[in-house]
Amino acid sequence: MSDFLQRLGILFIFSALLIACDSTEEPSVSFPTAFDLEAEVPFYFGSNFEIPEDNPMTVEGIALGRMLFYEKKLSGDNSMSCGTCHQQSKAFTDGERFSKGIDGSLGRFNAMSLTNLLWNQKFFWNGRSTSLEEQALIPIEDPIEMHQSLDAAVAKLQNTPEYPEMFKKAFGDEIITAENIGKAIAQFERTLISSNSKYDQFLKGEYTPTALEQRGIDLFFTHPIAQAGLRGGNCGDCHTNVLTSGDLNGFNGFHNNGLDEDATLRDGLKTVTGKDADKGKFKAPTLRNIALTAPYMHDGRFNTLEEVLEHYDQHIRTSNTLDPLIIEASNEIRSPGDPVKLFLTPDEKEAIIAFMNMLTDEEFITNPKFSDPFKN
Amino acid sequence: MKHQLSFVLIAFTLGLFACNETDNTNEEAVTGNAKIIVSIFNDGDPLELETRTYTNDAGNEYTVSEFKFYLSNVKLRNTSTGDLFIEPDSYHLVERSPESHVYEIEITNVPLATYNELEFAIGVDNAQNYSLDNIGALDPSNNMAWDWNTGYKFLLLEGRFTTQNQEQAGVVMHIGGDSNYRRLIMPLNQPVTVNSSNSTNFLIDVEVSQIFKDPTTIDFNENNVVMFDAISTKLSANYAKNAFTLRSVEN
Repeated sequence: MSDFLQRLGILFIFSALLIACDSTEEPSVSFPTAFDLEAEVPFYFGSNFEIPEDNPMTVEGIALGRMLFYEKKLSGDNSMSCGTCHQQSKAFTDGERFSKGIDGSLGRFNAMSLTNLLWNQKFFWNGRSTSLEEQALIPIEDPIEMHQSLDAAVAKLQNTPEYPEMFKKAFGDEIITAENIGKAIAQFERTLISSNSKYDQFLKGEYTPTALEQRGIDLFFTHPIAQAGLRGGNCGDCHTNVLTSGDLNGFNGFHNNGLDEDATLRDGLKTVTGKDADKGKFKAPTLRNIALTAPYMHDGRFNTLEEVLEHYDQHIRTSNTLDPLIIEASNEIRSPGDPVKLFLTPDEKEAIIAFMNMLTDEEFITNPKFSDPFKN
Repeated sequence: MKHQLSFVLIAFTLGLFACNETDNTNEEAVTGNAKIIVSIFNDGDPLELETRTYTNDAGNEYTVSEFKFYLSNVKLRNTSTGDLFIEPDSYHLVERSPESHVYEIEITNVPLATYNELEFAIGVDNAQNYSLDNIGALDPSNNMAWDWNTGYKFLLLEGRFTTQNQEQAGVVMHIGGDSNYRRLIMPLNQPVTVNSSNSTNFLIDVEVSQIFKDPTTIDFNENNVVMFDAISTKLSANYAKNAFTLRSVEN
């Protein structure tokens, strides 16, 4: 009798434990392999990023995303992929002022570089997308870009021998969805981390900058205060910290950088927020690999870094939303009524450009993990 | 019988390993939670970004486009009993976001006790100020770090104003540097007892206009860009004096 009760007790304990744990794995189902992206991030980039809970990084998802990134079937006439306008050798830009879509129509914005996207929460020059998953799908459907409905894209992929199996491995389902296309491309894009430029080697203590480069670093990150004799290039106010990218909180990383006067100013961030105060503000992009991503600005109006510096130095156009940090930056003491100018010396400009050249990362633009898998 | 006992023991041990969770429900709670709820005002109304023109004591008309500051090193103490709670890693970046003028800071694991004084600082203490491998609120990507040499901006206010010559100019207040680290001590009108069932909420009001007056009236025509200049100390003295007030404590 007591023996029976004890056996019953043991059974009870086991059942209770099973219920308590409730996380037994079924060995027959294969799960994608988790990919530790954080291990790829140097400490000085900080951990101010989030990977969406519903799209964890996996080896299979990244591999699929890389295929899709270079997959021309995603365009209406099978002629273009994401990689057409985002070429690895140019830090994922295309060298054009405006990119041409499959129908030959030109875009209205310069193709953005895809570098260190983890530290971005708003995408496109005007910030109209809030996730990489969402962003990745928009050019597929855009009539002036890849011009294909997502339904058509899904159907094309579903009818291939390789993709259903790859989606199954990555997302557990061989039925392809647009959502999973966006997720896979986003996973691949999150791996595009550039962290082995000369500047990174300097930050890791592996490289000693030349005098010119060091001067460029100092000038880049200094807001000039003429009254105090503090000279600076005023770049780091918007291209912040070692990432040289915009403030990622809210829309703080969007600025009017004095390209146009009120009459000709494009809406920029105002398209998204509807606020007059946001007219003419565009995303401050990272300057990582900037020497490779000409032409410059949201409309690709400048062909060289020298032209860009001349703009900030001498040709700022005032408007109602011009950034206060640009208005109030000069290396010469200003009198009331003076135009907004930085007044850098030729030597200082050379130094800042030397620093920008330090941001080129050869490993990033040749890394086989980021390359076109159809070209092997 | 002996075998069965060991079997039960093994079952339990396995269970512990398998679950790796300890059951705390029977332990008596020894801590509670608190919040510091910061409301940001200017001229008595919620601070508006970009859209509202304010006039300071010097007569300058200005707008604010961005306002944020570090609230750090939160302490609760009882000056009679000596009870003292120091929040670990206590760095909070309080920002007037486009969505709200209210910013909530959650403080956990506050020992259950009665407190009669709240302390916090505006800024980043010397120990953390020059280390940029920080995380959380101090992460350099929050755009409050200058660089390794100069530490953090403690309080940032940016906007625009109309000069005496009727020109549009910028207002750029980036206050930092060790000498501008300001500790604020706020005695409570009534002692408050932190308990395990309700959050104890400290409602702090920030009045932006106080940054520019009392004791030193700031005229933007003379000082519209303040970074490392001596005037920065005047601004931090201004805001340390009257900009932060404890409106009430809710329990």
